[in-house]
Amino acid sequence: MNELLRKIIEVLTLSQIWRSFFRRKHDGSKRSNVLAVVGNFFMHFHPIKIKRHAIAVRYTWCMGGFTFFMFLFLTLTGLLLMFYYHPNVRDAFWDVKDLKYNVAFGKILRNSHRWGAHLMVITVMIHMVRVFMTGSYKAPREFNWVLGVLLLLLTFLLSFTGYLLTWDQLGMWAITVGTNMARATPFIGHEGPFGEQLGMTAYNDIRFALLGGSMVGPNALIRAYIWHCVGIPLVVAFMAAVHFWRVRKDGFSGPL
Amino acid sequence: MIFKNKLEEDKSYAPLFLALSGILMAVLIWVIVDEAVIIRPWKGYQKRFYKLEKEFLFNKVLDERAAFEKTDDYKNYLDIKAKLDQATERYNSKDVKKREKELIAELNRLKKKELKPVTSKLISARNKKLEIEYDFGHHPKKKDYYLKKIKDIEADIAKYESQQSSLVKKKDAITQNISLVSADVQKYTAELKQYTGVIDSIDAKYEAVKRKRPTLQVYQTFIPELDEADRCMSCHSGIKKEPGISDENPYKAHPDRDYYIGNHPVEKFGCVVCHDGQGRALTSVEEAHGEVEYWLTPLLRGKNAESSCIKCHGMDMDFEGAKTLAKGKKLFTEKGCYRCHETKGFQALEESELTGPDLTNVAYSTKPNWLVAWIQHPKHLRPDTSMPNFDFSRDEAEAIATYLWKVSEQTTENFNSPQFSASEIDEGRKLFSTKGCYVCHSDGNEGLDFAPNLFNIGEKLNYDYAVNWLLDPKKYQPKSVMPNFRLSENEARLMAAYLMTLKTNKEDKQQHTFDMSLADAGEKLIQRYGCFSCHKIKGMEKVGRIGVELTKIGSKAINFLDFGVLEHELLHEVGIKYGHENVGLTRRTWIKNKLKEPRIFDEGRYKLPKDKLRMPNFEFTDDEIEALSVFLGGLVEQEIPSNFVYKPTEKKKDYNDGFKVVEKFNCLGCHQFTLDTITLNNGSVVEGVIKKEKKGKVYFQLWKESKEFKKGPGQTVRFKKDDISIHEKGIGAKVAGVLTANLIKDHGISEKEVVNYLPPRLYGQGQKTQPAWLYGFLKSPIILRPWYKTVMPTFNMSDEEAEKIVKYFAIRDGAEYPFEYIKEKNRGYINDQERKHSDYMAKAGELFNSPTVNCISCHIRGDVMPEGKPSDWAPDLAISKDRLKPEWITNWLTDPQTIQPGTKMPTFFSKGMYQDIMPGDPEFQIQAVKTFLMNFNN
Amino acid sequence: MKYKGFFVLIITLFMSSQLFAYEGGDVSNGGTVSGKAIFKGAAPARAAIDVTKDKEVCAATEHLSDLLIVSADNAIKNVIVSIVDIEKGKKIEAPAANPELDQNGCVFIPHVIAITAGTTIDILNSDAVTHNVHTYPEENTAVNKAQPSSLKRISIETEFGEEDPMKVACDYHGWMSSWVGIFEHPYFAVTGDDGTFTIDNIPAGAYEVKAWQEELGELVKTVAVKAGETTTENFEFEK
Repeated sequence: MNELLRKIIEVLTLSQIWRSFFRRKHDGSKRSNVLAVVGNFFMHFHPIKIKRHAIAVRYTWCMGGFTFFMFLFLTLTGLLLMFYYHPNVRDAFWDVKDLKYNVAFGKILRNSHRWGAHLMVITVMIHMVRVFMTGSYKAPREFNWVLGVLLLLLTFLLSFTGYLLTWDQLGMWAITVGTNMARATPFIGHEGPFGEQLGMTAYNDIRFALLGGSMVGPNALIRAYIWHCVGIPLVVAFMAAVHFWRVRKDGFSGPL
Repeated sequence: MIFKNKLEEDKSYAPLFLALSGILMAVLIWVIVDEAVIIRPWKGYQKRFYKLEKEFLFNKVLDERAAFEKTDDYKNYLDIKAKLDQATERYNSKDVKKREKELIAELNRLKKKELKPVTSKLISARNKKLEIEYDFGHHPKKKDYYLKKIKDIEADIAKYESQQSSLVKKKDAITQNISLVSADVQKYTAELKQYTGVIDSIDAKYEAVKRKRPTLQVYQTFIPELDEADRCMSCHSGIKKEPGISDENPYKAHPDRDYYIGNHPVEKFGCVVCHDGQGRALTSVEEAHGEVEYWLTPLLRGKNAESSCIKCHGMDMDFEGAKTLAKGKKLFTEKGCYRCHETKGFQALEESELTGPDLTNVAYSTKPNWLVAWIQHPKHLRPDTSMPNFDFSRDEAEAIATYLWKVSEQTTENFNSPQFSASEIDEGRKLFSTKGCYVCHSDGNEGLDFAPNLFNIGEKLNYDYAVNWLLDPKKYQPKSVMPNFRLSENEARLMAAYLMTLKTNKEDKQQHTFDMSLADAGEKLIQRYGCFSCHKIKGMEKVGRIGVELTKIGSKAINFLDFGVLEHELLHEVGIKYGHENVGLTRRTWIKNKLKEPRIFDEGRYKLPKDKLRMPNFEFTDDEIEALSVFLGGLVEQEIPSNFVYKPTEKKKDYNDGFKVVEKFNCLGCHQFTLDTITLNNGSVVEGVIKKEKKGKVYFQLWKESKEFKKGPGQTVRFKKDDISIHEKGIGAKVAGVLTANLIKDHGISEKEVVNYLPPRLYGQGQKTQPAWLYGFLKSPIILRPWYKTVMPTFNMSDEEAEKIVKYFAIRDGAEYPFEYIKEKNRGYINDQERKHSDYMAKAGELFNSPTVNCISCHIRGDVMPEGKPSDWAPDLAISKDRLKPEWITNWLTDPQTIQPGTKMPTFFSKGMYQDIMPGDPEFQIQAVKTFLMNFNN
Repeated sequence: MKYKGFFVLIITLFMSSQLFAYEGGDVSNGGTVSGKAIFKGAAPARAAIDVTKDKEVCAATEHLSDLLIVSADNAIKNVIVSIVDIEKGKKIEAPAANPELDQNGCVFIPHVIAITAGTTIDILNSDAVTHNVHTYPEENTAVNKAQPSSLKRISIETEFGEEDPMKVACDYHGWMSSWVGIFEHPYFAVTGDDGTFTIDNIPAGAYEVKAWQEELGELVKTVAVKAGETTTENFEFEK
């Protein structure tokens, strides 16, 4: 019986089709194991071997990974939410209501996206605390720290743009306050220092650029939608990629 | 577990993963259960509803079946069925079957073996004959030969034909016998058919009920124009279905379903547009009803749903389904709320309606003591007044009175009325009782309450003013509805004398004298409390409003409603802790408390006097407060698209507008507008008046034909009081009882005669008078019936108002408006008649004047009065041509009792009468008299 | 035409029997109530009628007011005596001919009659002027028909019983009036010149007997009727 099984496996795994799917042998040899990681498009980023101290959870807290996991989770739930959401002022609020009341599993989908967003912000902050505590911002890792701060900012912006999409009082006023702050920016805001001198008005300053108008309205909604679902995630994707590559290159910072 | 000193690759994370997997699994199961069951309560409701519906229909079918089984038809059905069964048994018995078989076999044999050959032989013989005939024609030389042949073949044909016919007879006989065998069965089957129809339909219903229920699903009405997706019917599955399935929510049908849903089908309107709530929500009862935090439009329960009518129906609320709302609007208008509080849609009323009287001449009209007391607390002096209580102190009231006194145009110092004898005062009282004052006013004993109660008017008015007022009310109060009774000076004096005796405190206290130094304080008070909003005060005509705008009060954000320190207490009374828990309820609570005690929100707070609340107390009852809150709750922000807005037909609008004017001038006080309509238990409807009720029997005089009773207008029918299912009382003639009593008492008119002195019934008025004449009459009434003691006063109504009333009558009675062609006035028509019938007009005149008809023996004719006493007289015929519609005259002359039962005018024209004067049938004679009347010049 | 009233009576009786339900049948050994209507006090004189219209015809003969006719020995004429709401008794018999009210000399002759519901009354006009027949029933349908001298006879139908007697008047001549008592049972009588009345064939029992006179009003007395016996009951009116 075993002989037969073994024979089948052998034939199977030596066939051309198998070999076209899997470019390595599954024989448990060191070479094959290495190729499992290095030859995989998604995993080749990952180091083949890592130092023991790199996986000390009491040391790393795993928060970076957690944040990345949350980002993926939010992308997935966000994608699913996009099927039921129309980014225009007539439909936006009611679509969110419908998700809650009408869509199968819509309640948990929307809620987990919302809670996930909060959690991502929390985990990224804990991650930064950890990186600070372990001194992993010091040379040669200064650039990575700066990247991280930018990623933090992008995380906040994701939350901010996403907040408007429900098109309710909370979101609308939050964005109103935020963009009203923007108009006080120097040079580019029409209420900021030197803004007037540079010809900034309510209709052509940075606030206008953010809102697509002078009030929070339909244009603001669609812009928030684009930023939240496409623009910022793309930027995050690129920056996160560089961030991980630097972690690889710089290596995990060692024990204290 | 992560152990400190083990190597990473030796550590087992299995427990952690197991734990986490367990949690994940639990969460998964929870999510699925939550999704499938907990947040779909509508499934349970729907299921139960279908179950109840099934039971209901089941019972219905069983009841139908039981009812059918009680009828005679069922007995017949059973009889016939029994007979049928017997016949079928017999039919199925061996012998009968055998016989049938034999007969059929015999028939077939006959057909095959005998009839067929003969028939074919016959056919071929006929064909052959044709052939020979052809040959005969083609061979003229061989005529004889072929002729013989034809003869032969004809003989054959005859032989075959007779054979065939006898065989056919045999065949028919056998067929008959066959059918006889099953004759019984067929007969009873056919007879049974007439009953099976009913049984089959009942059985079909039974089967339909047993059918499986529809799948549980979300029912939604999507209305894009209103941006609504109403899913209410997912739980309220029975709302459209027939009532009776259940009495509790959410299974029961909509109350008055045919009225509300019949007029507003759910497919077009949804539910939320009337009831508010959160149409899209399905996860719980509170969510669906919008009775959750921050939701701006929670469910409108019960009468509050009437608030929504305003959105589409505007301010026209005179319909059955919105009585509370109409009451609220009426209060809002009558109490003059819109005068201090701007409200869209009410600006026009400011010009035309009178809320508070003009105070320009208050020093001339009113006694000082009264003025001060009134300002301090109006309801203490006259409980039914609309003026609210401002809670002034005595000093404040005096100050205000002083200012008003100061700026009054006319003044007087004489507060005493002249002395009158007891008989003069009684004269005045008699005039008061029969001129028509009771139609609007009460004197403390009797009368209606349309206008202020005069029970203590002697304390208020000065004699001189009272006399001048009675002679011409509009001189002092241009907006007043009170008409001019065209009194003589003496009549006015006597009536004023009587009015001066109407007092509650008989002692004449010294009248207050005013200290003019208080006038400034008074002026400030008036400006602060906004008296000028309701009253015209000299110098303050153009000042603005002091109250908050109410146009969108129904949507006002609750954080703008100042509860003061009472928020929690008041909200606790209605069952919530914070306002945002139920926004609508909070708003209504605030409004109701405000209406009950307008300055309550100052309680417990420190406020500078100038900041204190100013709204006066109207002393509303709880019912009135509810009605007002329903009305105010309907003044919302939401704009309804125009295709949803109610657009009455032109006719309906004019009808409603006209009736509003009728109500404004209290026409219903004197005149009866509609008759009693009684629906009996057996479904028949009668229209007329109740003549008498005695020992459970009702004697009812028909004014309209009744097909069920086979009687026409004027005739009396009798039925039991218990047989009445709906009694819709006729509207109007509110003063009839009081006036009748007073006419009998003060003028000695007998009970039987008094009906001839009461204001005429306006039933069918649109069909009676010509519109132009009626318009003129309303603008300036003339005396139509000189014997009347109570005469129609001059209302001084505007042109538009008079026109509206005339139009109202025309629409109500389906009469032509505004023009009608009266052929009898046309010279051409008269000439035509003269040509056809010689001396047409002369004969008509003769008939008119003949001693047997003698119209002028009772009818007034211009300036000529008839003989006898005035109560026997009849209206002026000289004005008929302008006043009456010709068709009405025809109907009247044909039989007056059908138009005005009880009238003194007899029926003159019947077949065979007056042939010596004007030969012809009654219709012809009547037409002639009518033509004569229409050209009456004397 | 002669039997028209009869048929109308039967049909109306049948129809109204649904509501009133007077049962007419055989009465064996019925009792009788009889008596006299008496005026208390000095018998008032009858005033002459004031004729205000058509004097040539109406004032040709002098007529005295028939509102209250009291004889020298205080007997009141034209009093309608009836049993109130009797439900079972003798059969109602239709009269042989329609009762008549004659307008003669601008007065109604006779002044008072009493009939059963369903009977048709004939109004005659024996004068050379036009009268109008105007009835004032409380229960029945009112009638108002002009009756010129050429129209000698008008028929008035009755359907329901009247609680109080129905007035029949002429509007042309306001002093003309007559009274018709209409009952749904046959137990009534009108006093003649001697003021007496007799109602017979009444099933034994206690009944309310009402006497009505147009000016003096009505008196009601409870009377016990014994089988086969005559009970005497007098009605004393006073002004």
